[in-house]
Amino acid sequence: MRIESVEPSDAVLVEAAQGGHLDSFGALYQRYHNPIVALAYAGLGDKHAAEDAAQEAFAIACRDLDSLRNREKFGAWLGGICRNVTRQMLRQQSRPAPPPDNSPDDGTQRQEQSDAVRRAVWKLPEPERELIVMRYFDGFSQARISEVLDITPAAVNGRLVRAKRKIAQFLKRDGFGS
Amino acid sequence: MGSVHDDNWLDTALDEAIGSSDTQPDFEQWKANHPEAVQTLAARRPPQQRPPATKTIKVHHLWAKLAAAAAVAIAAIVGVTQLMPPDASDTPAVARTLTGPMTHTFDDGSAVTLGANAGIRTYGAADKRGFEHLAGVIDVTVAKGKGEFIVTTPYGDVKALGTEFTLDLVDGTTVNTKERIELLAVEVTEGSVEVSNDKGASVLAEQQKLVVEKDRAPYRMNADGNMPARLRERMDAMIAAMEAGDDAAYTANYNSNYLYKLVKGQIEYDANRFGGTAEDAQRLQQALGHIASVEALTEVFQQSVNLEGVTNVYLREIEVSADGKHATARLVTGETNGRLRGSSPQWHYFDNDWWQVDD
Repeated sequence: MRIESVEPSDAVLVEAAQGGHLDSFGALYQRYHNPIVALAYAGLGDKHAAEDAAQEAFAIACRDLDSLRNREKFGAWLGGICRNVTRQMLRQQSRPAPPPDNSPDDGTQRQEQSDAVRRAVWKLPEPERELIVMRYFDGFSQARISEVLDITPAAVNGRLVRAKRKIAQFLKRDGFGS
Repeated sequence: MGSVHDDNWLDTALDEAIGSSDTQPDFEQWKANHPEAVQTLAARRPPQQRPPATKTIKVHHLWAKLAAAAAVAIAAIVGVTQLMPPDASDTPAVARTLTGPMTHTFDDGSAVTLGANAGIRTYGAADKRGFEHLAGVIDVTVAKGKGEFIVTTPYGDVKALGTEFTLDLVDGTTVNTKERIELLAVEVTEGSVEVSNDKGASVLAEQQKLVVEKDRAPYRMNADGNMPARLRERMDAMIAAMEAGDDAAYTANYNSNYLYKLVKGQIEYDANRFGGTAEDAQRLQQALGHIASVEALTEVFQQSVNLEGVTNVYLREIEVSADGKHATARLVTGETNGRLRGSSPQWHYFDNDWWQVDD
């Protein structure tokens, strides 16, 4: 009788990693890599730069793990580190308002639509943009999103609905859809 | 283009615009790129926890694939001491969190093998036998004649005297019913254990298993006085079929003769004997009315059953109706991909036996 894939909680992994168990940090890395890339992408608008930011965020987390007292809040703590890294990168680039990366210009209606959707997403206030990008980047669970953004699952739902309504309005104003 | 106010259209458009299926975590690459961070973390490891031997890890992987019953045999073959870091017995007792896969041997000779995602916390006090189970699947072998050995878990304590048992701590959400599952499954390989919490206690003998859920008394089907003996046998057969992935054995729990008559329109729909609605029964008649024999229907039924990927079945509770003729089991199944799934199989007594009528 066994389930080998039932996952230990973040708190268990953090405690083991704080004791020097590298594989436990590896498990946290596997668990949070993509959500953190998504969070960085919401800030930077560039997937390659977002990957770099996520790598740096994990390096800082690895070095500073001892400072995390509330081990259950690892996701939110890592998310905070990621936002700091992202802001530093933006400052270095002197780019206050990042535009999203666009698809290669092949002139198709589908590509125009995707570009318009991205523009609409990046018009959202940062909290709503983070939520939308995390939700649609790789289909993360509501629980994972609420952990990284440190908001309740109910708040995730409410914010998601409001953000999508705004995106629809932006798109309509831009002449997309009916 | 569809309407921007159409939620489905917007979901698809956002998926296309934002989605990124090519982002994959690569921890090995990250480690290679950040040696200083890795070194900082690894330096926190006490000497006795540093990975001492490749041999140990290989043995653990092999061990982890074996059933709990093989634990003693393996220990005898490779020697328990080989499974341990060489200096562990020389270090003073300190509280430690251990994560699998690995095997830890206590000073008294008791051993615990942690599965890939399991975690435990050992006690700092050298005179206290046992440990805290934090997550995942563990196999425990308790040294005989050394006194009480207690494993504490979030949902109850497991007390053992010279025995072998497996603990499976499950914490997750079912993918279908979105129900939070927090339970401990206990299975005894040898000897006996007592499982208790503030709601109740149950003693488990060899080859018996039970489930204890958060804030509930331990539940063991065989100790359930409300359960007809024949229903227990049938439930055992259902669970065994599910865990073995045996579609034919699972299908045998259903009354094929009754279903054949229903499909052929030779018998009236009865909600107690057929788990679906009257409309479901009609659809079944339309789709399978041409079936020529009970055997042919059974074959079709077997083909529709899919038990692939089921690794564990946790029986949480069985509720028998006041008239003693209907039973509902509450199950959670674990799958190889780590997902949990909730279900409530229905059983009914008719044609002189208990039959599964719905899954």
